[in-house]
Amino acid sequence: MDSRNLDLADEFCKLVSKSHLLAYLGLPDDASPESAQKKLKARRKYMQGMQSNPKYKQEAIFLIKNFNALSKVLEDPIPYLKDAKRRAESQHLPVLEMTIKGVLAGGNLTHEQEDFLRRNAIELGVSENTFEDVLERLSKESGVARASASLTVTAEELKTVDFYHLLGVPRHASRDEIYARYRSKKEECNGITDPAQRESVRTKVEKAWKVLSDEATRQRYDLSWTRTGPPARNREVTRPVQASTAPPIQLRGTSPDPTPPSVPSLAPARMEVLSERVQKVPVANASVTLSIEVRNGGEMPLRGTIASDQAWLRVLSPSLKPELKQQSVKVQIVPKLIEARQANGTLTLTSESGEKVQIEVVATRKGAPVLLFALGGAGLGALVLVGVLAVTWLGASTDYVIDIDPWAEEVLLDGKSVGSGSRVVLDSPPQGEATLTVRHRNFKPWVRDVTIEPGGSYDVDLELSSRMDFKPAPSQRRANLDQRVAGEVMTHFQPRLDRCLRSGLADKPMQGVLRIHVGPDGYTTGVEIQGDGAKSPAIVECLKQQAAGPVFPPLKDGDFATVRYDYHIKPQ
Amino acid sequence: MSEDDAIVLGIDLGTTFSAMSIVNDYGKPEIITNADGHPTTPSVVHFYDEDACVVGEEAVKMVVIDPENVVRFIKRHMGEEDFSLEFFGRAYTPQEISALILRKLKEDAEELLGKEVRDVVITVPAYFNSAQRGATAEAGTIAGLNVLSIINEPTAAAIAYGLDRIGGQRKLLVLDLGGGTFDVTCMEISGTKLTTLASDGNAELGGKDWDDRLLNHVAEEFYEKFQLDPRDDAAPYQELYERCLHAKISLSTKDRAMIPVNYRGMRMAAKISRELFEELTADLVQQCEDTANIVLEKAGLQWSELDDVLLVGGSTRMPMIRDLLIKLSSKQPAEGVNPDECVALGASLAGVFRHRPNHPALKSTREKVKKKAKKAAPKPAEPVRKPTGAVIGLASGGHVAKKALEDAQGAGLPDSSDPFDQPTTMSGSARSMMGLDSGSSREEPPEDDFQVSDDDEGAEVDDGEDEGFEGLLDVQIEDATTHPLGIIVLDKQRRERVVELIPEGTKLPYEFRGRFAYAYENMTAVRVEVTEGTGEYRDEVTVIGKVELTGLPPRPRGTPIEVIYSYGVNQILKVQVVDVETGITRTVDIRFQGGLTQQQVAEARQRNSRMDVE
Ligand SMILES: Nc1ncnc2c1ncn2[C@@H]1O[C@H](COP(=O)(O)OP(=O)(O)OP(=O)(O)O)[C@@H](O)[C@H]1O
Ligand SMILES: [Mg+2]
Repeated sequence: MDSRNLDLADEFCKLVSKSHLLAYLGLPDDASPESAQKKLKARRKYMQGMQSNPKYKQEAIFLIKNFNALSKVLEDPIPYLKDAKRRAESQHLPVLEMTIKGVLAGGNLTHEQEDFLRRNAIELGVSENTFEDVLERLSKESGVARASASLTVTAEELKTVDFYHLLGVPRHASRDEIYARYRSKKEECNGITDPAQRESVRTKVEKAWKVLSDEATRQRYDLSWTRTGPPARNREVTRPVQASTAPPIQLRGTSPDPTPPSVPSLAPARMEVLSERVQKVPVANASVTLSIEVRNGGEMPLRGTIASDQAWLRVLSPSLKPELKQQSVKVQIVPKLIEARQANGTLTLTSESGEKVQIEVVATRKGAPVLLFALGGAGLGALVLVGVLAVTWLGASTDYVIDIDPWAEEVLLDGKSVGSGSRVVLDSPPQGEATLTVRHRNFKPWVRDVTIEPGGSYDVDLELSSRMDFKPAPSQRRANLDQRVAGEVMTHFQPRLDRCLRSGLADKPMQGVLRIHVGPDGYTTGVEIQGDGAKSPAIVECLKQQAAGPVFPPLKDGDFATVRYDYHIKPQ
Repeated sequence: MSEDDAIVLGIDLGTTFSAMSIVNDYGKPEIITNADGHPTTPSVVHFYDEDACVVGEEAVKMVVIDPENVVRFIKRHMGEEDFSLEFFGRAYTPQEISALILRKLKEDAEELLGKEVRDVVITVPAYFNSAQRGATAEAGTIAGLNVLSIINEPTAAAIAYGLDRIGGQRKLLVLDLGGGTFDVTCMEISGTKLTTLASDGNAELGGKDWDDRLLNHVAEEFYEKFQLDPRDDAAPYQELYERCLHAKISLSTKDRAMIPVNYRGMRMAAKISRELFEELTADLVQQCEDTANIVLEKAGLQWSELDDVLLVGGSTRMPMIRDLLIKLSSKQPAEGVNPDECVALGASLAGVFRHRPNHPALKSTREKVKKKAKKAAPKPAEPVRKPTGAVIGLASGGHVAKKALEDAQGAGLPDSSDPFDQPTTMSGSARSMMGLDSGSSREEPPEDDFQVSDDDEGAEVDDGEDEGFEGLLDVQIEDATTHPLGIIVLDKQRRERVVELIPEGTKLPYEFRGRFAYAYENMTAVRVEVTEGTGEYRDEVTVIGKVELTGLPPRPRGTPIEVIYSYGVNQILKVQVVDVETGITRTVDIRFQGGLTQQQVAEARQRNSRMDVE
């Protein structure tokens, strides 16, 4: 396939904030080439009438100009989709790595942090597997132990604990299914109020994931388990088979269902979905839970799975509960992950016997769009350091919420710690003025007097606590900085440097050179200014502050690197 | 009909409206109305069938009913590669769509005049680059027209305006804010010469952007209320756009306007005050201000040194633009200029000055000047007259010519002097009054034209009255380039570099001759790539043409090659590459390359002629 066409398709998808062309056309991943062509053509025709429409102009003109390229790409959707997914991943990988490094710089990695990173990875379109690999590699490189690494699963545990049961997944479940279940279990953990109990449950879940996530350990576990038979307690509950008559060794996937054979005279299970096939949900900032009513129209247990095609549409439990006659399947809409004002997602309920029901979920934002700090598009430098802090009021009876994007190690109100992470819920909303503090390791705290009010939003800039006037000594070795990434970091960062320079701008243009020195870890260590503005203490101070912002790629072959920025600022 | 008196139709091919004009036998430019009797025709095309379309007001009406088959603002896409629209299974380039508008204009003109129209002068924004100019010329060719010149809109406007002001030396700023483009040009009128001093603009800023601001504002307000966005559907969007457009126009005279929105059963009336409108568009006005300042800076002038400011284009009717100009220049904009018509009027005048040296109005002036000079009755010269009132008055050509006569007389005929060397007065001999249609590709008027027959002695030209005098003075138009032109060369390390040969703002005509050398040993072919735009590297500029010189004998590195760029007044760039030793020469006209090959243009012309245009 022509790589230029693929590039164009990629560019277009970014423009319309869609993951790939089929999603743009509202088609499923397995759509036929013919239907894709037809849809694309119709879209183009429609867009012709929109090309002067300011809201759709860019989309329309791009589509008109590059119609042939897009159409070529869709001649063969399968390789295209593969490519689109691979691209999404490789594009966002540097960003992800940078974020991970930022977190690892703290010296350890807690469960919460790992969760945060994993969430980021998913938002960026990086697959679980890749994420795990990268995290593993980087944590090894930096010598930081993962919280999960400290877990040791004893040989005893391997023999006695039914990890499948613990997570509530069938033995033949795929890794993805296991993963989804593992995550929702972990989320459930957060609801446990007693900290000791929470930790113990969490540890068990982590252990289960540790064993089942790795192909090799899982196979070993399966084998040992089938040989020795399940622990007695479990046997009684899920598997009324004699321990002495353990089944022969079976490979996963071909293993028979762990439930007992049913009596043949029972009516086969039939999946009936009672809820509307199109669910329109208005959302604000808070997550919304949606219930889909499913009834078993037969008598045999109803087994099946629920899957979503969108990250913002989270399935809380990926499988149906077979024993229930009627059940509510819960899905969660996470508005933070919705980029546009409106988003469409599809839930697919598939029963074991192959019945398939699709429910379209249309989430529409109420009110103005919430400013999200887009991890992908915004550039690399400021990920860990800069964010948006938005105060939201969730509604009449509920609370104030502070959303911090990406996240904060600690948030304090009037000196009192109110929480951490990317969302802080205030149970007693402060009246009017308050001092808001955001803390991060390695950075000076961000302190601001604010009025807590719904819709308030503040840019949080954290300044590195080390002094910004470190200059490399002559004896130090100059390293090669990855020019491409460094360039990207600078692109994002330049407006803020310019803002500093502009603050001292009279009516004459200013020009000169800024040198930003970078230490071995990629963090900036100093900034120098030559030329206009160098004599202004305000500008220099501002530059020093801003220079803490960018994180460059770590240096490989030297002690320092210098990024040069020739500025030329004109009065606006 | 002889070539010389064939009609030259001046066409203002606008983003939103087009207009056309001719110069009558008395030297007066006249607007040609369309079949509906209107002076301007909306530049809108509705395709209603395979090979059938309607242009103008009728097409505008269809936009809310059949938005997918209506094209507006096509000028914004001129010169863009890969842009084509599809109607009834056929793809149309921007050139072809513009050609349909041109055909409608031509056919309406022919009907009104009862004569065939072939030769045209089409205007483009000064800031158009060569691809955009080229595309415009291609559109003309596709429409079956013979495009004599492409001329800059502000220059055309200045010609129409300046015709009445010829004589002194005046500095003039033309600010043209139309439907889709913004142009600022600083011109000097000196004697009979019109010179472009500096020009800048934005081909993506126009009334449409003001409309869009209103539209976005109203749509967002509607969304806040109903969570529905009328921009999301083609037809409701078009309807709302029309309403915003009308609101904008009424805000030029009224303090507030109401924009009703009716979408998916929800209704709302947005109230827009002029204040709010100005707030919504403040940054656009700021852009206009910046551009105007840049042009003055380029021309090396202070605002106070300007004699006149001229507002052209429908969008300059907005008080915010007038106010801006008054604020900047501390002057009232020139009165009596019709902002919708003066570009077309200037285009037809330019057509006569450049391409019809024997136009009856020019001839009669020359004769009368000659006669007057012969008589040489010493009469005191009248003070330079400041014309007021309509620019294109019936006798405008007349009274200018007459004043020239008077000046010629007063100066006592210094036969050898050239008026252009003494720009502050209009003194000069009858011969120099002819002006030199220099720069035009045509040859000078034949000598016979200077002969005066004795029996015309008693002509009534010196009675001091305007009436009865008909004629047109030769005017020289000196345009300047708006984008730098260069060449791609290899430097010592054999890396590609762009070398600028003709800087921006160079007066036309202009010729550059430069020597370059072989980059490699034993080369047998040379390729010259002509670039447009500012930059040092290939990807910062646009390559607008290539000349290849092949079949050369192999010679060492350093062998000289001469490159000649000649840029004529008609916006034709001629590039010659000469092998100095052998004299082998290759010439290429980079004129009018809008992205189509000659064959494509010819095919489009064929197709276009089969198309029904109403
Ligand atoms: N009274 C008015 N107040 C505000 N805007 C107006 C008024 N009259 C016309 N316009 C606007 O002027 C524009 C049309 O001007 P004009 O006909 O000069 O442009 P054009 O020649 O079609 O475009 P361009 O010169 O950019 O190619 C339109 O955007 C129209 O809405
Ligand atoms: Mg115009």
